[in-house]
Amino acid sequence: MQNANIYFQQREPSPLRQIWLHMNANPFAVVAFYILALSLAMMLLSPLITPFNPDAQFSDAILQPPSWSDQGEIRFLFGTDDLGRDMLSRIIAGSVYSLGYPLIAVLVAAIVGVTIGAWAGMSRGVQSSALNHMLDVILSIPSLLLALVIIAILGPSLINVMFAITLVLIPQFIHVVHNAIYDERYKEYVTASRLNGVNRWYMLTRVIFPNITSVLVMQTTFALSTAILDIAALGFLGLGVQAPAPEWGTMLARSLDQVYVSPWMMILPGLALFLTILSINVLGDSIRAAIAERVRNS
Amino acid sequence: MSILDIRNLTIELETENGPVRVLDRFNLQLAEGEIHTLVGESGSGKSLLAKAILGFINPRWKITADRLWWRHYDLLALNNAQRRIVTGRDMAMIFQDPSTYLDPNDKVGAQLRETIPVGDLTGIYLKRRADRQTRAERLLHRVGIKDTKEVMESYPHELSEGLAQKISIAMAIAHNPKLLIADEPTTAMEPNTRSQIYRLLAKLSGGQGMSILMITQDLTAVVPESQHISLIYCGQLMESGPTEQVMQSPLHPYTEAMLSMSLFSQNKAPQTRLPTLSGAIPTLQHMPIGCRLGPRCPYARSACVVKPELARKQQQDYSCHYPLWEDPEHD
Amino acid sequence: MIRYTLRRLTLLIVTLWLLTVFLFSLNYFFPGDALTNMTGIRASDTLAYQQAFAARDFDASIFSQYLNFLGHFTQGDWGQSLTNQRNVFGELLPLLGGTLELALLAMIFAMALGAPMGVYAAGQQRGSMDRLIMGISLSAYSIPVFWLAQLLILLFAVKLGWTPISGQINPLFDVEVNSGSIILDILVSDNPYKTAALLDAINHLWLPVIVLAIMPATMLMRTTRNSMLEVLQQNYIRAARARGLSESRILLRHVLPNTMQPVVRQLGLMFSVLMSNIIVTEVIFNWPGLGSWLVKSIYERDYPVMQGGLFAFATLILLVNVCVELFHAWRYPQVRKELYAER
Repeated sequence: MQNANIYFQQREPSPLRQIWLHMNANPFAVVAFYILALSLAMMLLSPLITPFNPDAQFSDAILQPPSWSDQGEIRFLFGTDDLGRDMLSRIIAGSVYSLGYPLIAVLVAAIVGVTIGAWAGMSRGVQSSALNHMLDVILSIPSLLLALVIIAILGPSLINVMFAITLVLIPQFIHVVHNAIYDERYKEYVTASRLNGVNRWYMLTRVIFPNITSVLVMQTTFALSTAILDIAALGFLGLGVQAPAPEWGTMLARSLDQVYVSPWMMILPGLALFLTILSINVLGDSIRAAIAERVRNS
Repeated sequence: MSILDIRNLTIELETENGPVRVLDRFNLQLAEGEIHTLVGESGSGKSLLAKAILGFINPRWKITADRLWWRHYDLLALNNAQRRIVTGRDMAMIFQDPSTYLDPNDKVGAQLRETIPVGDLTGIYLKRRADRQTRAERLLHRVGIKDTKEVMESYPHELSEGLAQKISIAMAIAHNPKLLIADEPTTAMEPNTRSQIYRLLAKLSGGQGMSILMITQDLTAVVPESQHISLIYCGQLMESGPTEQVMQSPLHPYTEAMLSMSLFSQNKAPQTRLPTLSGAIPTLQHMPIGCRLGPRCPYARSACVVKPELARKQQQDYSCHYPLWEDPEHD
Repeated sequence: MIRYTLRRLTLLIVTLWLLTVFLFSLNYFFPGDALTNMTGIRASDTLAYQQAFAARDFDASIFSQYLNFLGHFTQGDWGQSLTNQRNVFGELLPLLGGTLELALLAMIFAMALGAPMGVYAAGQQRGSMDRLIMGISLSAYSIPVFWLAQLLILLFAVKLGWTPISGQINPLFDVEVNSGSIILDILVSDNPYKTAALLDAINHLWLPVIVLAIMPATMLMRTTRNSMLEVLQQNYIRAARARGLSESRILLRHVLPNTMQPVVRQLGLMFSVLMSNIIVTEVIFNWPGLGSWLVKSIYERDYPVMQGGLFAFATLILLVNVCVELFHAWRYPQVRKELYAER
């Protein structure tokens, strides 16, 4: 379609909007987006929508298979575990631990990390390069191992796990923001506004920041999937969220001895974890592709 | 006798807003051993023309032509494999940014050696290897590089752009092509290096009857050795003819404008405005109909909404309804 | 290259030194008595405690305490376990062998699987096979390793019964532990049932190796594909085509080496991912390696062991990363130029 207005103007959508458009063109990304939205809603409404109290034990229905199997009961849609607790309620309630807490950890880490990263990116010279070397070393150590160190010092508990995960995520944010700003700050448009006499604060917030938002969004999705995975892994190792809290990783650890008798106890929480991480990764991947395309086009 | 004969070549690109005609009924003839300069602003479709000749064709392009003949091959009738054999044997191309056309992780010598055609070598493996080496060195000598050993041992990122371009030329002439297409070979180079490269190309052309299609952005870069010149604007051929003649007495308003815009034009009073064409180059999606120069042409009239046919006057081809000559019968 | 190597090695040594400082300070961060955390000698064992107190310069300043610690540490005296009083360093070496065996096999398997698939997918760009491979790899990348391990155990060990659920080898074979790597140990042992033991070990081995290899393999697949698509669009590939080089020569000499450049750079990261997965996998499969040892020490609050495990893991990862970087810079010279230019 030719444009109707005479003075043809090609409007460039903003970086975030470009990502959105790119995502919308990919059906998988759209599905992933809805799955994620759904699990977020599930997490926020979890006290209201769980059919039973996640800790309530039904002694008459121990190890009940899911409702679609022959011995199943419709009362317990996903069956029950070895203590007779409703699996559906536990999975819904578990989303608070396995999705909600990672979200908080990522948000806190993002705020701290972006602040430090922006400061480091805007400063130059020795402090910046020393920081870079330090970060390179820290980031080469896997986040799970770092979290284990912190847990070893503080002892296993939910609060300590949150603290550990947040602390571990901060260097990643610093690194990404620092590098993104570092890459941008020598581009011509930044030099131009520096020559215009713009102050540093304006330069950071109005000139550079809009151009690195997409990188930030990608890093956030990446951090979120790391956080979910690490919290679940720590729960699985028995070093994180402690039973009887219905955290998905802890539930998986419990099912380890029961795999022969009640495979659903293992499959269902794992599936919830898998779907959440998969949809986050699909979103992150689509954002990455969108950024790559934008770089190619420019 | 022309070895490259292009008649009414049209290339259309598929875009979101429908097809865009980037090359509109373009004509070009090239004789054996001549240097032909193609002048056009960026985006005028000159690089696309080069790609179409060489057969770097994107499946989304629609290429039609009355004739696209190379010697006695109809290039459009050949399939990809046959075409690569023909173009790989007879043609070569050098580009702007020459260093991006060298594999960054391979030594220059190795890349140079592998371009030497296998058919030229005989004997056992060791002899062939030694032959390759001497042939590669000779190639470097021919493009004026004396310090062959050091150059062959270095990686592309260690070379200057001028040196990289010389190596590109050495690789291009390795199999004695009949046609060398030079796509803005000296953009972003220092004037000194630039003239070196041009002199080298002219020498190579004279020495072995190699035709060169020199693609450039502005008229001042036209080398004195160039026999023919063509001007292209937005995918349409404006004017084509012997270099001297076109420069002395342009028939097309576009040529005239380009000449007067050039800083070295003689008849300019001091402290006057440099003449320019009004307006800007149209974007691909919004090409004017008819003669694409129309909206910017100082002499345009209503007839210009129809594309003028190519006319000829004393070896000079032009495509304009109102050419610039004082013809008593005309007008 | 020599300058670059020296710089990297200096950086490695500085990092390792910082790591020892960190380990030393951990003794004070950990709950309990710092000397007990360091040596594994409890205060209740008064005589030994007094001796250690003197030997470790605990009456002197914190600085000489550190120097003393460094001296003991570099001589391989990493204290003794709080739970079984065994020497930490002596305990560690065979476990390191077990972990390395798993990690190396998984890495090799991942490369053998991931890189060719990535190249194949790039060749089918935007085709159905490309989409399928990329879809599978993204899904496989998102499976938490502990769930994957359980699923595969359920399938192969419980339902099909092809492989034992856990362990390294049937204890009946009674293989003497030397290097810790079970295959090597069997090969050097003079066990009369060598072949049977080897088969049994492999039977125990293949499932954890697959579990571990899947995540690095998917990373490799994606990197290889994306990098190859990038390379195929480069000017020098087009120029090579225009020069009439044969397609196979272009692929082998120019496309693949350049494709592998980002892949090589990512190997270090892949190894880190592998290491964090190996911790969980060893616990699930009950594999006698560093990971299960470290996790067990955290349960038991066995601080000397914990320090040893952490140091071993961190050193292993750092060493692999430095090796990867050195190889990368050696094979791809223009990287060195970029590194110099940034200064």
